Amino acid sequence: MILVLVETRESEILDLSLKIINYANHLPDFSDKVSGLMIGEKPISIESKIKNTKLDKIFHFQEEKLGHYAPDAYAAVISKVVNDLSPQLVLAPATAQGNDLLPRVASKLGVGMASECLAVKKRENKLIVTKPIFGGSLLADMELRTTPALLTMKPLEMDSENFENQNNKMEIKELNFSLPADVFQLKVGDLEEPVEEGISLSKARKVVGVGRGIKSKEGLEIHQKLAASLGAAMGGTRVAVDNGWIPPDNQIGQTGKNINPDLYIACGISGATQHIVGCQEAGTIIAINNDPHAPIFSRCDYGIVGDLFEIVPEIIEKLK
Amino acid sequence: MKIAVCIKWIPDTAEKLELREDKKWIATEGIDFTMNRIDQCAVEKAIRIKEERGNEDNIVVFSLGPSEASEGIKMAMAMGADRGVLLTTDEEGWDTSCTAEALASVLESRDFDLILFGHESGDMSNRQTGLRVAHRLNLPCISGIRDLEIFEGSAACKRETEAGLEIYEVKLPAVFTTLGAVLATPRYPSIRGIMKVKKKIIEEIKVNKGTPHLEIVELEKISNERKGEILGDEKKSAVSNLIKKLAKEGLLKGQ
Repeated sequence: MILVLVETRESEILDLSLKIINYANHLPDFSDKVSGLMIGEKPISIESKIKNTKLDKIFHFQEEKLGHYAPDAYAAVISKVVNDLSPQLVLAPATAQGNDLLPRVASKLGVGMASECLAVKKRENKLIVTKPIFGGSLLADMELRTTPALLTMKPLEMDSENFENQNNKMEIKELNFSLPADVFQLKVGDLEEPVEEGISLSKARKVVGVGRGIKSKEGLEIHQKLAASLGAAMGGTRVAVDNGWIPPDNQIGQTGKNINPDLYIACGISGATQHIVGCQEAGTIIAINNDPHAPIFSRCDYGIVGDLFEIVPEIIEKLK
Repeated sequence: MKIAVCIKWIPDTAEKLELREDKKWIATEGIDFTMNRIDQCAVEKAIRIKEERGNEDNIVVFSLGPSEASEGIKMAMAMGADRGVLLTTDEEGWDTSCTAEALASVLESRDFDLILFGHESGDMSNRQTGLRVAHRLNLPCISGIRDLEIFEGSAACKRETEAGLEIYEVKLPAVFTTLGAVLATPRYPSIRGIMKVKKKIIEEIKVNKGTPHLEIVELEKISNERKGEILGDEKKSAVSNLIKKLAKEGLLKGQ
C-alpha cells in the first residue's frame, strides 16, 4: 500500500496533500491502495474533503502534548504507523514540515528518502524518482532502493480533483497509542509572523528584480518607483543582497526565494543560472540590460537593450 | 564552546553545466568548484557566534570529498574557522545516508556543543544530511533556521515555514541546519585571514562509502530558454512596444 501524509495548514487540508493523494491513485506502475495519515488538529472540512478522495483508509493521531508541531513526536507516530502498515511508499508534501519529517523517519527506519520529487515510477522493477537538481537546471532520475521508500513531492500537473459521489463509507480511524516522553522535548515554543518588506514576494503577481546593473543603493529608488507604479513586489539577485541594496529576504534565486508571478521585470540582471532558477516559473519575463550579450536575453520573453536609468523612467512615464 | 560546521565542496552552479557522456553526472573538467553557498552562511554564523562570545570558542570545519574539497575547508578557515577535517574519498555515488554515517562516525567522539549544516546543497539538494547526522548522534535537531541565539547550555532558534516562524528552545549539544543570507551574509576573507590559513591544520581521515539508498540513473538538462524578443533599441519606441504587449497580455491590470 501507499501511505500519504496529509498536512493541514490554517485548519484546512493542504491542497498539495490532496494533489498527492490523487497522484498516488493514478500511478500507472502501482496498483496499491492509498491510505492517509493526519497528525495534530483535525482540519475543519475534513469530512467533506477527505471523503471526496479515493482513499482506502484515513488515520488520525492527536495528542495535546504535540502542540503546534513537535518534530520527534510526529516522526515517532509516522514510524509506528509505517511499521504497522508496511507501505511500499510513503509520500509527503514537499513543504517545510514534510522535508523536516521524512529524513527523521527515514533515519529511524534505516531507509532511503528523496526530497522535492516531481514523479515516481517503476522501471525494470526499480523504483525511480524524478527530481530537480542543481537548482532546477538539471532533472535527475534516481533509484530509491529501500522498502519503504520515502518521498516528499510536488507532483506536476496533478489536480486536487474532487471525487464526488464516492459513496464512501470511509471512516476516520483514530489512532490511540502512547509515545515515550522524550519525543515531546523538541516542540514549538512560540510562533511569529514573518517580517517581509512590502508585498510578499512568494505571493506577488508582479515582481521587479534588481541586479548588479543598478550600480548602487541610490540606483534602487527609480526601480522602487517602477514597482510602486505596477503594484509589484521587489526582489533581486545575490549581488544586490551582498551589496546591501536589498534585504536577504528579497533575494530571488537558488539560495533565495522561488517566485512565480505573472510578470517579472529583471533590471540590470545578467541572467546567471542561480538567479534564473528562482524566477523560471514566471509567466512573462522582461529583461532590461545594457549588455546585448547578457544570458538573460535568451531567458526572457521580451528584452530591451539599453541604459536602465533611461529605460525605467520612460516605462514609469508611459504607464501613467 | 566547541562548534562544528559541516560544509560541501560543489560545482559552482553559475557555470553552464554539461552532462558527462554516461549522463550519470555532470562533466567536471574545467568547471569551477566552490563551498556550497548556504554552508558559507553557516560558517559565517559560527564565526559571529564566536566573536560575540569573546573569541574563545573553537570552530572546526568538516567536509567529505576528494582531496580538492580541502579548498572549501581553506575557504572556511580564511573566513575564521580554526581547524578543518577532511573525510577523504575517491569513490563516486555517495548519497546522503552514506555521507551522514561517515560524518557522524567522525563527529561522535569529539563532543561538540553546536553542529551546523547548511539546510541544502546547491547540487543534490537532498535536505537530509544534517537531520540524519543528528539522529545518528542522538542529538536534537531543528532544520531550516534563520535565527540562532546561544545561551549557557541552550540555544533559541527561529525556523522558517510557509505559515510563519516557529520558535524553539533547545538544550545543547544540538544540531541545526541553516538557511542562507537571511541567517548571515558571508564575509569575504581578509588578506590576513588568507595568510593565517597556512598555519592552520587540516586533519585527513579516509572514509568508505558503504551502500547508498539513492543512486543516480540518468540526468537530463532542462532548458530555460525563452523566445527572447528584443524590442528594438530606440528607447521610446522600445518602451511603447513593451507597454503595448504587456497591456495586450493583460499584465498591467491591478496597478
